[in-house]
Amino acid sequence: MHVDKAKILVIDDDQDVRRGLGIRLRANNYKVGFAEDAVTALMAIRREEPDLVILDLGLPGGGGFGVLEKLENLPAFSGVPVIVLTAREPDEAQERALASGAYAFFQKPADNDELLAAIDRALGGSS
Amino acid sequence: MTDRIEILLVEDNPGDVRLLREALAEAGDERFRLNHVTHLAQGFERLEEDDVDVVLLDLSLPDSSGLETLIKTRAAAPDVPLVVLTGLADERLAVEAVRQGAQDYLVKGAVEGEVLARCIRYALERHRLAVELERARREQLETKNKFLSHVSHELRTPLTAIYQLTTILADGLAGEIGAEQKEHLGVILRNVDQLKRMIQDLVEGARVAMGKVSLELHDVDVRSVMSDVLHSLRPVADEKNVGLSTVEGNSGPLVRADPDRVYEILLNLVDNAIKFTPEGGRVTMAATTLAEDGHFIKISVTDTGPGISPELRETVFERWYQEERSARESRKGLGLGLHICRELVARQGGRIWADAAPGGGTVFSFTLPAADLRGDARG
Repeated sequence: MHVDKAKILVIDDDQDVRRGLGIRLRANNYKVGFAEDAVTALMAIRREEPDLVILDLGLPGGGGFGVLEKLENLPAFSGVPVIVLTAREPDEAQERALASGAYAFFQKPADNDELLAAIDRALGGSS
Repeated sequence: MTDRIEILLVEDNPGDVRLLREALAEAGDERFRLNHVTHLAQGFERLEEDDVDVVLLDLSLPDSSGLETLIKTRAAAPDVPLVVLTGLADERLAVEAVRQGAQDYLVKGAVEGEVLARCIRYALERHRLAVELERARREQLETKNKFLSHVSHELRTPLTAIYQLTTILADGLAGEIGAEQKEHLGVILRNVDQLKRMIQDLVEGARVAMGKVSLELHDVDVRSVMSDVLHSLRPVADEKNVGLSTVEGNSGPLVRADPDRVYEILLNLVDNAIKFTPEGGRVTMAATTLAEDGHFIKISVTDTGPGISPELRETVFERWYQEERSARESRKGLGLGLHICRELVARQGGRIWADAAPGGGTVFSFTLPAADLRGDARG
């Protein structure tokens, strides 16, 4: 039985990182959407209805924590897993990210295999 | 508060007290307020009330004598400037007291009003400058370390793009590549890893320098940490054809420490050991109870590398130290790894050192407090 491809929204202000993640995720059979700041991120989430979000914390226009907290407070999206992928230090940001509802925390650069494994787990291991 | 100067005189000899009182009155500075006690314990009580601007301290008191009087007072009130009162015969002691943190000393019996007043004012002023200097030093350190953290953070994003697109090429996601191209991409990825480790060291070094390392102490099974390190560095050792193993002890020793930090220390030492061990050599980890003191566990990493000359065995732990040979034989790090190890070990109550290994090579050893099993039973 063919299962619809899961859709991942990548929210990151760095163009090259978006490009790299996009290629890697598509190569692993995901559909990919993008947003590059906190404001368009929330619009993109409503528009694209992703199955999973990869979120950078250092975003222009409000910061990633703002996005994360708003997302968790929107009933329609509070079940969408968010994987935080940030340049920040874990001891500064990890606890808050997880407490705010993030599914997992990765520091940049994150190992491809580890990131993909976390995505797979977050989506219920059905890919 | 007005600009009163509260002077605490700790002196048990009534004659000396009287002379100082007279000298102070003679000085005619209206700001001076003299408070007098005869015992050090009473002095501490006054110091706790936190309204003392300067202490005049006789070193020979009924409840304390000699330099110890000064050292205890400094410990009780490190932020209050202190002038030592001494007899004619004790000038050497007074000089030593100044070395130990007293602002100045006065020879009793020879104190005139003007001299006393100046001595007190200068003590206050010098102390204020010392505090200012220390504040400026801390601020500078903080700025430097904030800068390091900021730079490290900014380096991670471009490094991420390099890593992602290089692995995309290496995995053939952008078209077939040949063996030679694949090899080149492997070199790029190895350098990405190296940069990543340098950034980590930079951040960790800054954290250590600021005393901002947070520790979560648990009972840690050293054997399981060693097996994690073995697992992490096996590929590196294999690639260089260096044997990597642990010596099995009779039982798994437990230490009271932060498991992540123990892992970090051991990973650093073993990674270093592999780096300096020639092809075909061996790196061995072992853990035993410290022979001289059963309250400590000794964890050691032995290599069959070129060894470290005795005069460098302390130096290697200094910040920014780099082994010259490493520039040629492999790649330099930042010279922070062993420094970070030393700070982390010290923070957890142990020490770290390097010895020559029998038959050449080096043994790096560090100690950590053995876990208190009774404490464990209580949970």
